Amino acid sequence: MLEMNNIEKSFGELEVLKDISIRVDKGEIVSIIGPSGSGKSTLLRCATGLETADSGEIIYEDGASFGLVFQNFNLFPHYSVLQNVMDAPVKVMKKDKAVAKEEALKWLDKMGLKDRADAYPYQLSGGQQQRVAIARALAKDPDILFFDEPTSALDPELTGEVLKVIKSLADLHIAMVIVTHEMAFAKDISDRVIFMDKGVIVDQGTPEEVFGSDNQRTKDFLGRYNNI
Amino acid sequence: MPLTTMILKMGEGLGNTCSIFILTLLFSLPLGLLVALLRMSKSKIISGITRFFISILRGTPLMLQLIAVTYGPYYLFGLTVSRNKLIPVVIAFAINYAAYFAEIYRGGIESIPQGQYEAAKVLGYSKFQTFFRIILPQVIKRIMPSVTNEIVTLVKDTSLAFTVSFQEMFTIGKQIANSQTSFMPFLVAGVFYYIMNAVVDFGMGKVENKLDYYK
Repeated sequence: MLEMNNIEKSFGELEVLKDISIRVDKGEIVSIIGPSGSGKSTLLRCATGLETADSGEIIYEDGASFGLVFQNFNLFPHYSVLQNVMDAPVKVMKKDKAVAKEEALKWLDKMGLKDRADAYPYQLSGGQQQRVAIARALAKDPDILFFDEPTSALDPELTGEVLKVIKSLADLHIAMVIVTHEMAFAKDISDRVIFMDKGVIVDQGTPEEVFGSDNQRTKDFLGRYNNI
Repeated sequence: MPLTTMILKMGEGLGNTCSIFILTLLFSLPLGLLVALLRMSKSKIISGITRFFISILRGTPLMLQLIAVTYGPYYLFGLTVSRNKLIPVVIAFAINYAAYFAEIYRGGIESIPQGQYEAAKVLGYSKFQTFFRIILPQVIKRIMPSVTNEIVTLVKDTSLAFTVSFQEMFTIGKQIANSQTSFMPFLVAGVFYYIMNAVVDFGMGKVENKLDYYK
């Protein structure tokens, strides 16, 4: 459904992505793990058009659409929770307002936030804000949903609630590409895990394969995390 | 001259004072936004030229600009000075205030986090929608205190129209003061300005409260 072929990206002298190719199939859940500065987030930013790759091609087959959940939520502070979720469907996709509202409430319900529909972002905890951001991305009916370190800006006690709702999306058969430092989560949820380091894909495969990999760099990286 | 006559005579000029005030805001607020966008243009030529004009308008006295706009056409092109001085006065005020508002808008626009633009882009908003639906409402809230400041200054600046003998309240007061050799008209003018600014303060306070529904 998504194909990224031979992606290269540099910021000045710094080569962030070196000839990266990945493929994501319909409904597939892919986690991208790796140390900070390995190029994971840049790869997502290239896939979502926030950065332009220096070379390579990005193909969304059959007009597949995407959504992106940011590390810092980036909710619109002047919109209520409900407006945050339904504004793009109405203004961008030209959906009927009543339909968009009904769908928005459905997504908020799935995120456990239906009762906060009239609240404003500043009134919510970080975990709640991120769940609104996920509902906002889902409301655009994406075929593939990208998560850029969705829990990195959260206190540890709020991480769990966000990971739980992401996990609950697995049965929607929306493809998900998740950049994360939550190893146990990646191992648990993913169909495929990609380990990136210094702008290249070092290792990839099923969670069992990657978390049990013989590759020394993979082993070194995973060794820094206990209780996986 | 009895005080009541003085107040009534000066009060007749208040209509013109208010005309300068309202028309200046009406033109300079949108014009300022346009100037801010030109100033922030990616084209170095456009932003450079805009920057130059802003520096001229902020760097020279408004009084001088009023004289230039009112009498400039006569000295430069031999055109007759129009009898209705409201037009040149409002042009001078609107351009001058647009320059100040432009810098206020620019500060506001640049203070909006990049993430707001990114979220809007990923959600598919057009650049136009992003600016008018997502960015500008947040900018307006942030710049409200600075805008109030400018508006309060504008109320008092309307008195500068006396330099081109436009018959607004202060001009009339000055004429009375000269003919009667009295200081009283200046006191009356001071009270008028104070009352007008009290109204402005009250109104802007209401607007700020209205925008207080989010942080």
